[in-house]
Amino acid sequence: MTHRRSLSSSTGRLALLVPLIVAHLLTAPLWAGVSDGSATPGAASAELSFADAVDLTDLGRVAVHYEGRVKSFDSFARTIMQRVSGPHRIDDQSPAFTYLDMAITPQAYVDRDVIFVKMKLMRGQIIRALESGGMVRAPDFSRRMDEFLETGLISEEFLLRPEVLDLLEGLRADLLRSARFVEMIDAAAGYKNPGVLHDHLRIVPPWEGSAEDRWLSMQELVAAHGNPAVTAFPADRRQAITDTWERMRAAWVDRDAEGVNTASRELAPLLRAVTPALYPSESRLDWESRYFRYHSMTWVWIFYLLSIVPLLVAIVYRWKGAGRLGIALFGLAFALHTVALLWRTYVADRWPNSNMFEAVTTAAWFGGVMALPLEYWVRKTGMRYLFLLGSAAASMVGLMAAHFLPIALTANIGNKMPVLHDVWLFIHTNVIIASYCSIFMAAISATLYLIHRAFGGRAEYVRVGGAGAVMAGGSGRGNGGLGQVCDGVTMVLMELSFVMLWAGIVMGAIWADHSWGRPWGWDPKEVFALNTFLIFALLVHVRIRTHDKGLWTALLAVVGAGVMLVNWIVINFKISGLHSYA
Amino acid sequence: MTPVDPASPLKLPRASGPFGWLVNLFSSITFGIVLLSLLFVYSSIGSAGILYPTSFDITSWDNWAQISVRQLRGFEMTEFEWFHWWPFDLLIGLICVNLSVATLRRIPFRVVNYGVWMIHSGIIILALGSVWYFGTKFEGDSPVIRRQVRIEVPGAEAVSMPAVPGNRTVVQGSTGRYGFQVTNIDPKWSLRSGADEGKVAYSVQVSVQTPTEHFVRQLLVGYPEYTEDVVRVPGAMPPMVRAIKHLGRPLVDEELKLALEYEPQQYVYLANWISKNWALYLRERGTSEWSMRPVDGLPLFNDSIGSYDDVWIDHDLPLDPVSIDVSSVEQSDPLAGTDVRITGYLRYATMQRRRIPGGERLNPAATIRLRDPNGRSQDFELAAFDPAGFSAEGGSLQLRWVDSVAARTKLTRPVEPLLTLRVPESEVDLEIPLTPRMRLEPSTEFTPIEGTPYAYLVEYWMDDFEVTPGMPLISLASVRLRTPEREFQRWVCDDPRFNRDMEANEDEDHSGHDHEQNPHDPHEMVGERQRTVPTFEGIEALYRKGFAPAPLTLVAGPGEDELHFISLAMPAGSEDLGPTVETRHVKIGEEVAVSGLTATVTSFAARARIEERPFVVPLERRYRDAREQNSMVKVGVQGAAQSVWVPYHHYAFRDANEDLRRHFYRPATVRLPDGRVLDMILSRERLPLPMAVALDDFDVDTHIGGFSGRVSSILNWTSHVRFADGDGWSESTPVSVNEPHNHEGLWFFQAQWDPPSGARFEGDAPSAGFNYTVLGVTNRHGVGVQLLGCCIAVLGMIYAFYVKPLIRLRRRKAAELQLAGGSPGPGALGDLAGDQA
Repeated sequence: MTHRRSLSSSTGRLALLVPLIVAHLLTAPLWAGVSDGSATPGAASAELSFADAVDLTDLGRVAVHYEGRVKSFDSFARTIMQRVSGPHRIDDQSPAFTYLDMAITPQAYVDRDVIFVKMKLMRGQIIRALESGGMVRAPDFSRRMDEFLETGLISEEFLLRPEVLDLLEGLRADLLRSARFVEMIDAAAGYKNPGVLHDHLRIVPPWEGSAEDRWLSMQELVAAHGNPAVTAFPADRRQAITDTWERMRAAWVDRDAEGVNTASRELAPLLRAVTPALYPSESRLDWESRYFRYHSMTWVWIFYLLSIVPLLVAIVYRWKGAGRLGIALFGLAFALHTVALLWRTYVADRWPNSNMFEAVTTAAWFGGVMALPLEYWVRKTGMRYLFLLGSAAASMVGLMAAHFLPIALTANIGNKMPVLHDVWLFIHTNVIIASYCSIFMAAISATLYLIHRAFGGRAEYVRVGGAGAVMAGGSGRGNGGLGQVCDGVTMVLMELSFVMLWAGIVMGAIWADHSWGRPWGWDPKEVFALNTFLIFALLVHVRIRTHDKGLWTALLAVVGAGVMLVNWIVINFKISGLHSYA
Repeated sequence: MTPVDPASPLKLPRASGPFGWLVNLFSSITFGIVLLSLLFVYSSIGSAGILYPTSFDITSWDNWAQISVRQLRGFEMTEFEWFHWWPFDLLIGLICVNLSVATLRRIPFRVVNYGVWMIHSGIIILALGSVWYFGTKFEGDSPVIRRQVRIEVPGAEAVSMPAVPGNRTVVQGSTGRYGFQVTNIDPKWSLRSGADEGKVAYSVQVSVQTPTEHFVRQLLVGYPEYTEDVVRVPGAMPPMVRAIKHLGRPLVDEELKLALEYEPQQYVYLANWISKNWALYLRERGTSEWSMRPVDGLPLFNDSIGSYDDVWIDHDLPLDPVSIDVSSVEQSDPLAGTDVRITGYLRYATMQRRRIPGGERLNPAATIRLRDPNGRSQDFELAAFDPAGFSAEGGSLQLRWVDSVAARTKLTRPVEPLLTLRVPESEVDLEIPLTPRMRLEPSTEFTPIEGTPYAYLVEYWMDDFEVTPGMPLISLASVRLRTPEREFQRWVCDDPRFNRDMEANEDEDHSGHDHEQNPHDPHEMVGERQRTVPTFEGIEALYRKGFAPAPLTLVAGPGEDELHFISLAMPAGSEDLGPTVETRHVKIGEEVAVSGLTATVTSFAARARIEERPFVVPLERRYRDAREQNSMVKVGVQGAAQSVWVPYHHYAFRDANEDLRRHFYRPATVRLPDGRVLDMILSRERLPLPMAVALDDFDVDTHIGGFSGRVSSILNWTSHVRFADGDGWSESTPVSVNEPHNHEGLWFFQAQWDPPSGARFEGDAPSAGFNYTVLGVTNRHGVGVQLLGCCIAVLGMIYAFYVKPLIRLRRRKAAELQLAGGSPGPGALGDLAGDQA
């Protein structure tokens, strides 16, 4: 298909609309997405000024021992505060500030709306219970409840009302539907407890200890004289640390930002000097703090979005300038994405593929890894830009999910489950998630094909398969239209997915065989990986039998992506199984 | 697959003959597509089930529910069973035949088609390997306890008990009874003796009560020479002293021999979640070994009852009786030749005792429902003659029986409590009525007991308070007593057995404190703040509790259907006068307003009897991870008077000492007409292991900071196991996560571990864990064949998608070169033609 023909055809009309529609649809979440990390209203200006004046940069790089890991205080505070307030920040304060503020001045949070109720249905029930208990007369009740309905944040005072406790008790008894959400509220209230916050703040390495020794909290260091782990400290060292901590605490209570800053600056090196051999390097802690301050770089989705528009224009109009711009933007996005991945690898000290956040963001990155050589391969054919487009769309969706669903896809870094400590985690998981990304990319080109057909495009297809078409010089014999190009790209990616998915499943079976004692257990995740493969097996054979091969290929590629997403979303979040940790 | 040119599907001559239609059918690609589609639908439904929205807001996960089709009544299948059901087997069989016939008839065996041949043959090889694999597959688990304590008491046969904290046993020796309890196990005990100082050993401490002495014996794995006793020495600090230091010898009783030995496991219990492997275990009371009877046809997911009278239930459940004959298969079966039949199954139930009408003797029982103004209600079951069950809510709600109208009237009148002090040596008997005024204006001075050298000071008194939930209520008065020698405090209870003297609390300001506003907390008093001292016999004390009507009392009698509510009311403006007492006749089901609440007698029986049945727990209150742990079956034994509910046990424990602290041991009992008593448990089928397995050691590798008690701190678990080898044991072999061990064709996996746990009940010992492991045990025939098929298929895919186009491209170029006058070599055009075919 030539440039002129595309402009005069239905595809040309589509070409005018698609970038606008896509740009509009894709940028909508950007503006809506400001809600992530949104501040709760009602903060007093004096408080804000203290929060602004406190500089926790040094303290943020202090190491905290938590759940078998040593992480930066910034990273740790983020983990804990997420368990209290879900995705929300309190008064737009950093999690580190809120953590310390909650621990040191808990009275300020007694009647603050800081506890996150995840289940929307439960929010309405709590409001009705409060109303029935006469709380509707409480000052500001209506506004607070409106905000609660919206944000899910409520105060402990409300939750401790007898009528709410009765309600939660009833909901706790329903183990099928609501018990786990009540337990999340319990956990949030528990983490908010100043005693718990102080206890979890294990920032003191064991004196001359080993990696197997427990770290101490400041609370222990200050109070427990009978604790042998504390008495092991030389008195002057212990005194220096506790005095500095107490000064910081006193300054915090007095809202003396300068005092807090001075004490926290002094505290960090004192803690590092306790047992330097056990303390993570300063740069590692610094990078970890920065990683979370930069929101795990999930905002890179914007760059992928920006690359999509010129790539689409280049595909439809065959405009080289737009193509070059698209490639440049995609290159920038992919480079940033790579930095994010390597950054996480460095701070987590492992390849990021052990939880949902890592699986999604790494899978999206694999899209770029596959798309770049493919793009180079097809650079002189009609298929050019389409692999990049598919990869950009897949990465954008993946990173958007990570960015806007911080609870479901939590970026917190934890330890791997024991069963995941195996070389097959790298082999099986990476091949599978790469195949999933490839399937998603195939669905993008298939969707373009379907849109093309919906706007009256010709029923075209490549005659010799995907890789065959590329080897033959592009879309079939090189004289096809957009439909043939899209079909060719779909087939290239489908063939890649077909092989990788099957190989990935087999690799998983090998791992399962020596890990669980069975290569195949009919676990829902296994079955739906097989189901995805079945869809592609159907695609291959339906393509043989039908006349409108392009249409059926596109339809089944989209269905295959749907089954893959069911496997990744529904099976993971709704149906538990052996792969629930993945 | 792709090797056939999609643009020109092979035209296939139709087969003829009597089976021609069948050959044509199985040659059809369309038929293959239909079969693959059916397989997709079957797999999806069987695995994920059906998801459906429960609200119009489908954007929230909260509004989606799932039905697992294979678990529905009528299917009752595990995932393994669903995927081995005949429709699935048929589908796979048809797909294999279709693949074979279509490949043979449609795809010529040429270079360009090697890929599709490999894919199809790889899948068929995989299917054949799977038939072998799944046809011979078994999978189960074996709990292996680390050590047992072997006990040799003089004059008795040696016995043993698993070395798990809390376990206890009693042995009758020639000199009397010996009691043993494992009080503490330290998996990492640091040795402090000589050359072995600093080494770590598994330490087991056993509390021993001989007919004459009590001591603790410490046993160390690998160091029997360090076995020693620790004795309590009054006045010593710390009070427990090594026997070697106190007695000059390491053992208190050298005739008593305790040793640690392996506790070998002989069986593997088949996993119920793979396929149903129910089994009933029976044995005669007094014997230790179980006899197993496999149970076929028992449901797994759905309750099956034949009558609502079999259970307690508060939700809808269709009657769905089962009748399963459970035949004996082992010669050791104590009931060989006797019919045993299962007539009911409950997936999740707990045994409950309730009172129902139909008793022979008078035993009034009622259920009272209280509802608050917000509509929240709660039911209370009360029994008038049950000291622990006649009241609820700390005595605020009571059920009483009266045999006359006068007795009922008496219940409306308060009676003052009475304290009686008696000095036997002086024959002084002093009755002290405890009046409300004494409570409002407590005395600060001791009052002499005339005619004696003693004096008393009444501190406070309390009636009917609950010390332990479910136990009878207690009433007491606290009195300070002064003798010429000392001063002490005495609690005088309405049940004199609970009287006790305690040191006087010198810190307490008893010169003006207000007991009315700051009553002592009885829970705190019992043993927390003051020390008990020997009872002073010179003064006897009695307390008769007073009587005050409870806020709400249901009074039954004197007629057996006669009910009255006696309630306290505080009319507006009469706060100074105190509450008034109201008596109202009430009928069953009638709502009565009392003290701001609505009370309803929902059931009443003057002659109630206690019946124990399983309570069927509603679905929403079932722990999802509990699996079959709360299951039970109703078993009838030929000749026995009645059927019994037999609870599920995760393993066929011989006694409660084997319950691994995480399960329970509660066999059901049946008395046979011939007088024999039979124990029964429901569990899973077990297979004897070809060789016993023992746990030598157990390790955890941890993340930084060591083991915190949480799984998140653990990097790996490793069981060091030994296998029985002739008369001895094999070398110790590690089995850890991702590193199974193959022993004589069986694979052993690290499956579960023993985490630390607190005391399970009062008097129990906490556990530091690591006392046992659970090994997964399985076989894996045919895995190599399956893998071979998979690899061939992968290679075929690569060939079909990437090698074949290269071959075709090369041939095309050669043909084009030939057409252009070049010399591509003989046959290039022919190859191309063949390729097109």
